[in-house]
Amino acid sequence: MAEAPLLEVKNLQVQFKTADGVVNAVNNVSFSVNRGETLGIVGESGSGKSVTSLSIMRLIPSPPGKIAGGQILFDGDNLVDFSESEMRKIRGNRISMIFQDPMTSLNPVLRIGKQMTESLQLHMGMTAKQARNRAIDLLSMVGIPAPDKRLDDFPHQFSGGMRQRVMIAMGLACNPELLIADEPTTALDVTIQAQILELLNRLKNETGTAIIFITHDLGVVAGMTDRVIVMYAGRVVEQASTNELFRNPRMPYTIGLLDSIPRLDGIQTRLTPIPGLPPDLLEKTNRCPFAPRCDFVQEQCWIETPSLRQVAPDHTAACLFDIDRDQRQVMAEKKIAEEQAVLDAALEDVLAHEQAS
Amino acid sequence: MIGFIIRRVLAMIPVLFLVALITFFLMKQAKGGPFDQEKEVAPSTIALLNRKFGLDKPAWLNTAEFNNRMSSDGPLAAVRGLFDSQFGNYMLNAVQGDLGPTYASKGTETVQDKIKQTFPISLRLGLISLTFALVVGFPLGILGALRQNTIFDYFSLIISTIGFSVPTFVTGLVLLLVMSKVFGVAPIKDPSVWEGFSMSYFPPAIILGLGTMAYITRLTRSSVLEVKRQDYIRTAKAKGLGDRVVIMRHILRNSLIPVITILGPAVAGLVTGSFIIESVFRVPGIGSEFIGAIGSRDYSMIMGSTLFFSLLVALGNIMVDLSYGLIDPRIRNS
Amino acid sequence: MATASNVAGTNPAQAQEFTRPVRSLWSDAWLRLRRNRLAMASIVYLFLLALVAIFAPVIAPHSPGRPTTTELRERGVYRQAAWVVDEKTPKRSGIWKFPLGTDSAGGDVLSRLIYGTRVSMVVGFIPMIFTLTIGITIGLISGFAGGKLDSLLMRFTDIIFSLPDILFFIIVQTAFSQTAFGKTFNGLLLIFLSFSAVNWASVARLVRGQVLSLKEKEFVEAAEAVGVRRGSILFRHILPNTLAPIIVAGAFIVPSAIVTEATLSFLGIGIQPDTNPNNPFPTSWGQMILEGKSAIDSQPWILIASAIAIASITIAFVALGDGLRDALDPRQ
Repeated sequence: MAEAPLLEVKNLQVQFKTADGVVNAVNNVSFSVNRGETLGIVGESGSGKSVTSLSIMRLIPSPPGKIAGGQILFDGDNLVDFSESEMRKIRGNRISMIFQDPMTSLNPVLRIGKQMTESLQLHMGMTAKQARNRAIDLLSMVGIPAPDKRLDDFPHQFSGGMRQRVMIAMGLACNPELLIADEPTTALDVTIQAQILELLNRLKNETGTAIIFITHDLGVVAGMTDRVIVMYAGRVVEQASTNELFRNPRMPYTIGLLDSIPRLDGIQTRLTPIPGLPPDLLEKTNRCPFAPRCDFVQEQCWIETPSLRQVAPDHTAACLFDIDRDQRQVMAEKKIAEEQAVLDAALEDVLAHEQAS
Repeated sequence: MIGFIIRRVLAMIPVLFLVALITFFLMKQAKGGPFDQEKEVAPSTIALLNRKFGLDKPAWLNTAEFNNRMSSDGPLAAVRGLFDSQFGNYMLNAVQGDLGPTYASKGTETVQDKIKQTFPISLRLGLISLTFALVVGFPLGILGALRQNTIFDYFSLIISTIGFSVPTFVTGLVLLLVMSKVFGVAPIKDPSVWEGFSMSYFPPAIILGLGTMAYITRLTRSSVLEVKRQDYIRTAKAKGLGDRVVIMRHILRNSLIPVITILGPAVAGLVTGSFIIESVFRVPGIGSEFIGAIGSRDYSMIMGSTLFFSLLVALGNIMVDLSYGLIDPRIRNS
Repeated sequence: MATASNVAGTNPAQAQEFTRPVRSLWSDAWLRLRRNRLAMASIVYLFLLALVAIFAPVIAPHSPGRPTTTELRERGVYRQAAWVVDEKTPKRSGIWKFPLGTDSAGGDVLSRLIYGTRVSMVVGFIPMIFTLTIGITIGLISGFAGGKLDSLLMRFTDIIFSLPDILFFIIVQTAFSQTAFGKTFNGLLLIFLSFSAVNWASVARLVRGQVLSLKEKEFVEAAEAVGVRRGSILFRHILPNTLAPIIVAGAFIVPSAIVTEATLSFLGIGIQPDTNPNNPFPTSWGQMILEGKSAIDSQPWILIASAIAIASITIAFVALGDGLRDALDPRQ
């Protein structure tokens, strides 16, 4: 890697003060994004992926939230030290963001045109007329028919998919170097999801913008991203290139995630959900956060928090042990056999009882 | 738009009719006629007065007249005869803007004359207090929400909780007490003070508007807090917009929507609250007249002003619904 | 969270216990309410007032009714509050035996104030129960039945809702206050009924709205799908979920009823004063304000004391209502 990364997050620490105590929403998170690269951040709700992205924009509601430590280096500048007015010059201009729910992310009482042109006029110093023309170009770029007419419509006159297209157009308005897409397809119908993903893929190639793609859906990541990080309980638990991660997942949580989605490639395996709930981030413990739900848990997991370690070239995982998918398969079969044995024993018991009487 | 207004005006009719019906029915339940209190009046005079005011006719339906005319003049005249009752005649006249003579004046003055005389005073009072409520209520609520959990927020919370909870006659009397005991301001006795616009309107208007102001403050505050949490505000911030633009362009207009819905009840509150304040501060408006009518059991005045108040409240609601559409495009287009 | 340290480091079999303690909606709300200092202070204050209302005969230093001739001689009429010296008529100067002085009939102002608590308490709670009962019934029927019945009921509700309520109360009071019915419980019954007859409309709208949105919820659809009877869907699945907003609405009905009674009594058409010493509701604060108004210059403490009483009880109820709303609506 000759070129310095566009974004480098180092040991990010984000806390929320609540009535019940301090929640460590993001713990010691580090990752980087190169120019033009697409990074996927995967995790379930509450894993800290959205908080991480909002921290990059410095948009965590504060109070109660606060960046308690770490650095966010964007093009060499530490955004954590930026003043609010310095940050405003970055937001929507060099880094922009699109959100999960297009139904609520647009202001219902302002025309689409107004909402699109405000950042153009602010960051690019355009006149109202120039901004409007640019907005028309942007809308046609994201595939909205009759863009000059639609600019005067209100958000409620658009469908969900169309609104997300508008959001994407707004996000790309000032040619940002980094676009953060926070679950941009989660709230949409499956067919619309595919269209939006395709659109993002096309725009990524056309504009060369780096993208952080946040999702809980590993399936979405596969076709979109160059690299993936997996987050769990506010930590990065695995990091690899997308191919490597799918071929050779090394953290039991990632293995669990991959096993809990149906495969379409014909290989029939049992669909196994991950048992239990994600942990309470209020408690600070020195165990592996995934231990209570892990199939491979050992004594050591309850007394040591694993840190990321190299498990293969350009592949890190936060697990104390060398666990891979084959073992998962073996474990699963063993578990089925055990269950079967228990059932058999019970059946025998009943039979024996009946014979006795 | 025109269709909407027509629909709303038509919807007012059953409400007003019901108000008239209920009021008339209740007035009939009251013990004692309007002329009972005059001790020296001979029974024959009372009978004469009753006749003059049409009180000798049946209250609801004049079946005698119906049967009478049915045999002589045919069904159409008979139906007219059926409604030749106290209520029927009252409604017929009321539709034409004639609310009948006041009992208190023994027929020399009509209810609509009284309303014409006194309503301008009440209107001035109401407009000042509405202005006060809006001009103070909105900023107090907005600032409270934007500076949440600061001293300023607590101040606005305290003021609005007091204004919202304590009845106006209590705050009004306390203000009168303070004015007279602390500042030595005597209560106004000269009625000519109220004829034009004068400073004397301010104490009663502020007290009258206090409840509405507090309500607006509370609602604006919670509305702004609600809007602040919305996704589209996060979108606006993610565009790099400054606080001022985010507040002025994105927060305020959305926060206004729920506040406007209560302006209808607020106007109603000001209209009906006025008679308590007017009697506390001795403002010779229509409210004082109404309270006086209750004391003297002047039923035509009570009926007339109740209908008038109800009309005002209903008109206020229509205006609010219209302004609602101006602010929220989702309603305008539907 | 105490369990966390125990489990960590022990064996994985205990892992299943590693879930957070379960808190129901209600215990969560209670926790939030307890953190609200203003609401808690209001609860304490209102509880004290309730005690005052119940034990008024024990607490009040004198009988609230008309004094006997010998008592009258000692009390005097128009006596000032204890700390006020009347220079013009020294026999009206305050003494501590009658801390807030005496009124025109020689009644002890403090004792009457104490008895007045009863009216405010009763007039707050009973109409609330009436109003909620009518409103919930009509709202549930309207929302659950839908169709023609719904639109009929809602049209009726809209009309009631647009009645200017205080006007209606005034007319009802004028019409019935002299009848036997109007005199039941010093006119309290009439106030209960006329208040509830108008105020149920907003509760009905609220409940109907809740029912309509709950009917669309998955858990109700699920219950329908497995064949739960309509009656038990309504009472087991829908009603419990409308409780939170109903409680909040109820909490705000109480101060509004108290203000209504006080306003009517202040206009002289509310509850009727009774000098019979055995009457449990001899006077109300609104009435005392009316008396205080006419004595605003000569005996200001009647007005001040009763104004403080009304202001503090309504503020306490509103603060409690605010607290309940914030506690039951976690979005705030």
